[in-house]
Amino acid sequence: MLEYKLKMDLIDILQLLISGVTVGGIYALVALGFHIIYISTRILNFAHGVIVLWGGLLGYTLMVHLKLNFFLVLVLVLLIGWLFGILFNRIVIEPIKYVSPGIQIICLLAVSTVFENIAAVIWGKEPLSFPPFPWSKNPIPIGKLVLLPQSLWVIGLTLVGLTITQWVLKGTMIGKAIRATANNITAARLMGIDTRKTYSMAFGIALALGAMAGMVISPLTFAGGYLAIPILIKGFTASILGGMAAPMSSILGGFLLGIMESLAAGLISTAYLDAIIMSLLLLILLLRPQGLFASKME
Amino acid sequence: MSIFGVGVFILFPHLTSEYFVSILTLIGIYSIAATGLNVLLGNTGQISLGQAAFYGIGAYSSALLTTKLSLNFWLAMPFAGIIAAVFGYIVGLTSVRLRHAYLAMATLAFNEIFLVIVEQWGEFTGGVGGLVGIKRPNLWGYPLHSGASYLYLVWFVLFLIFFFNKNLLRSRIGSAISSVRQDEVAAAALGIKVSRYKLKIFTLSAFYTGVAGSLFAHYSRFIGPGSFHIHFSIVLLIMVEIGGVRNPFGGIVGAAIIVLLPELLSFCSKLSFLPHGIRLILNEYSYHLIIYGILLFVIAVFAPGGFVKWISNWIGWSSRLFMGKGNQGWTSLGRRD
Repeated sequence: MLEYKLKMDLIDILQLLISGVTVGGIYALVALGFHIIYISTRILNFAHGVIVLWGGLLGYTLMVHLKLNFFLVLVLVLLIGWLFGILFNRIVIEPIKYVSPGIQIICLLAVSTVFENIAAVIWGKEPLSFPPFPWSKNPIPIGKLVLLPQSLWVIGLTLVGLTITQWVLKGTMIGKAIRATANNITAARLMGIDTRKTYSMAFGIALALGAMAGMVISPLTFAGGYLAIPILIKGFTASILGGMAAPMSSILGGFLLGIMESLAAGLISTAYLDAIIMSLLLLILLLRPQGLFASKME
Repeated sequence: MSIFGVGVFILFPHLTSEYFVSILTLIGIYSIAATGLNVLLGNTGQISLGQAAFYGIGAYSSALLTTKLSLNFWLAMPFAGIIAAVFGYIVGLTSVRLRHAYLAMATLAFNEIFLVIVEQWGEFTGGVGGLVGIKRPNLWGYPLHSGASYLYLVWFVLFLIFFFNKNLLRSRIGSAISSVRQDEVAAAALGIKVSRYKLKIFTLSAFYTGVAGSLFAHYSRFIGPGSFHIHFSIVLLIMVEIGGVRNPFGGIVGAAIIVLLPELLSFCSKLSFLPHGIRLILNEYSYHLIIYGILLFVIAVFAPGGFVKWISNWIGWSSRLFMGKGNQGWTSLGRRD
């Protein structure tokens, strides 16, 4: 094992980089969801991990049990995620919008626990293996590198998701309203923006992204299991790595975390991988809580 | 009256079954851990989701000290608390810089790190399989094998911690801590070193939780990583929320409710007149966690002072309604002159 590691050359490093970018895309999607909720409501969504979990399980049911077309499933997962976000805002966020941050965290953790266990009741406690996406039977060789088509799917869908979100935030009136509310909620209200609607939209977008992330990553890992908290911590690590304040930096943070994770797994240790990543989170929180790319903390 | 209470308490385990004794012991152990979190949440308002890790550090330290180094339990228990407190101090350093959600996330990460290390470092901690062969303590050559004798030990420790805590909060340090809670800036302006007190409370909280973990290890005589999962941190949070943050009895009440609730549910699952489906549901741990989660949400939103305060308010209100005593509350609204 050790000799193998010493012989590791450029090809292996590149291979690790590819898998890092793949996982990083998922973290970027999760981190972007975090970012959107954070800028528009100043709430850290502790229930985000469970949304990712549910996205994967929902996709599993639609594809395996109902045998729907893959693209239809993708659209359905996005749509259900979006609707669920609006409902989530209505049922969970509205009552706790004005209570202290401590109570908000406790409530969101409670919601996360409830949904995690509902998932365990419906789909069982063991992780399920997700069927591969279309046209991804055979790995694609590029020189000595091997590219899994699933990675291409993940990277492609991530980029599409990120681009659409960027376009919604920057190019549409809804996005403008979200950004205005994020900037100054009172001023936004005075300008006639319905901030409740903005909140719903922000949650809709964030949870749709989260659900899609869950579905896209599932063929590479598994769907389900008690994974909500680890996903939550990694998504948070990605967004804190880049910095909470800007959308691009949270995306960059996601990719950076994915690459670091994959390099750490390949070069240091897979067994202690989670401990390494979490220690990294603690270090960043202590030394640079505003993120690597942000200039200041608001 | 109090002598009578003590007498009942001493006789009680002899009168009832082993099952009841085990429930009371668990309530005692969880009460100590919940008191640890209550100290933190109630005095400085910091949320720690790493309590399960401190509990686990206490349990593993005590178990390893007694089995590998064959140390006496009476030394190992305080040592376990101190080791947990050392880790609490280190994690507490982050708590000085971080607040609210960031601190919650940092402590959550700490719990994950603890779990990964316990699961992977197999030759030291027993890995996923856990540690076996932990012994019950000896008291002057008399081993506390029976459930009742261990019950006394647990409640004695709880009693000590409870009174230490109460006196601490009434002392000079306690007033300083309470000023930090009420207004951090004003306290700092008066020369109180805010971050030092925050760190002290965090360390103390870890110490209590570590002692609870040590008691748990010697009670169950087997420990594995499953007992120290993040779910336990959340369950502790639920205990404190139900009992009421800053209520000195909050931890005990919350622990009692959380230990008794599954017992009540599984008792209900034996009732033959209920449909089979519902009886199955009542026995499943996942359903218990769903119920806890809903309970936590409802209490945090509608009764932020805790279940106890809510009940007592409600009783006070209804007694005023029916007895017509006292003119506070809604009756005074009518007479505005």
